Amino acid sequence: MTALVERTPGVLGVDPDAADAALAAAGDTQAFERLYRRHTARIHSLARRMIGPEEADDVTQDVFVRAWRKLGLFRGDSLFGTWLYRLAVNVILGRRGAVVKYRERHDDGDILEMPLHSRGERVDIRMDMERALDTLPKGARQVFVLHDVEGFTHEEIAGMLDVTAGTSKSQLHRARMTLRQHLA
Amino acid sequence: MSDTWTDRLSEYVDDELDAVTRAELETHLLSCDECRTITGDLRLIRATASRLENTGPSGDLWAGIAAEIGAGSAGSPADRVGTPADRVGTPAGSVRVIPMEPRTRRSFTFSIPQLAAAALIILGLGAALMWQIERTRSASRVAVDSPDSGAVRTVSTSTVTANEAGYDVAIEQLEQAAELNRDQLDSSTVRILNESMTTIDRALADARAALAADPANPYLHRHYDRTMKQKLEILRRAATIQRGGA
Repeated sequence: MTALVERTPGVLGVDPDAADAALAAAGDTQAFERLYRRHTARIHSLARRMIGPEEADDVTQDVFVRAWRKLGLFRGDSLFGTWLYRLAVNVILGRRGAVVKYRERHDDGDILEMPLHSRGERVDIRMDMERALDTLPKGARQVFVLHDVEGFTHEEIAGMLDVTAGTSKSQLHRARMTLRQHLA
Repeated sequence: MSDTWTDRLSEYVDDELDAVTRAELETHLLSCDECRTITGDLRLIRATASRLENTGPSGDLWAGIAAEIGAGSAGSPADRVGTPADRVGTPAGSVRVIPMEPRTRRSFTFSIPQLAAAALIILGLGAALMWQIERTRSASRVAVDSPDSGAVRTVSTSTVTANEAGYDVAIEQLEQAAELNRDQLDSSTVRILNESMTTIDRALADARAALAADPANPYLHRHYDRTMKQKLEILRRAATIQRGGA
């Protein structure tokens, strides 16, 4: 998870959220709100990319409510941001049987047809990619987001989705090739 | 886009091919324009994905979260670990919830020697309290068998574990148990207990502030840990004094 570590604010080994996490664990809701403010964009983006914008708000709220309830389990072995992020991934993957949906998609080999955008319409390739993610089938989208956006390894993704690393690689390639078509 | 190498291109850009396969593919790329183009596109997609910016929700979600966690209405770890009855092991409704003084946080600066001096003070107060509690215990063993001590018996502290993650829960339990026991203690013990708690809470607040400024300082972590354990030990003694030394 190199990318995830690199994207975590602060110097490696020093958790900038430690104080607020400790205060929040002791019941300080203001400290927890500060944690929410610092991490909500990242969690919301993860949710939006993995399961779509229509559920992102709800999932984000769910993640933070669960984080509040589980703060007593946070031991500081990892950065708070990493811990929260892992929790968010679990919540998202557990949402409405996301893993089951993944398997269904994978078994069917279902890659959706996507409308091609002309280069003239493109304002920013990143914005195009955000939109293109919505059109990917859920399984390919999850693998792509986890691997290319968030930096998880295929082995980690395989563990999360209960598939083989080979399946994860295959889905990643299909997602990239589909995105390539969309972004052409 | 139909040759046998196409499906390996993602592994190639991710540098996941073994050396032999990689060499073969690179040889193929020299003669295949399409695969070279795809490889370039896949690299662009991967690079773009890694640079996607995180954006928050269009509206503020905090209000909904605050409502769920009880922010602004005394939300606390107690809400997360069960009812007060659960925490002290007594039937619901039979527990007197005792409001404890809020733990104040201070914002002054201090040095490691100052922290060490505070630790010595705590040790001194702790020793005095232990001595006083032991003295009271000897003088009050009869009270253990009195009917009035029934409420105290319902408080279980044996299951309290003082690991790092459970400090606050353990402290809450012990504070409640100690408060229930407060009437059983003589005035001098209560006075020393109060002084000890005030000193320890101040030391803990200082340690928290220091850790916030220097989270990686091992001395501060050890100091905080030691102080927390001293607080737990004093509270444990205060909570169990009427248990006849059990």
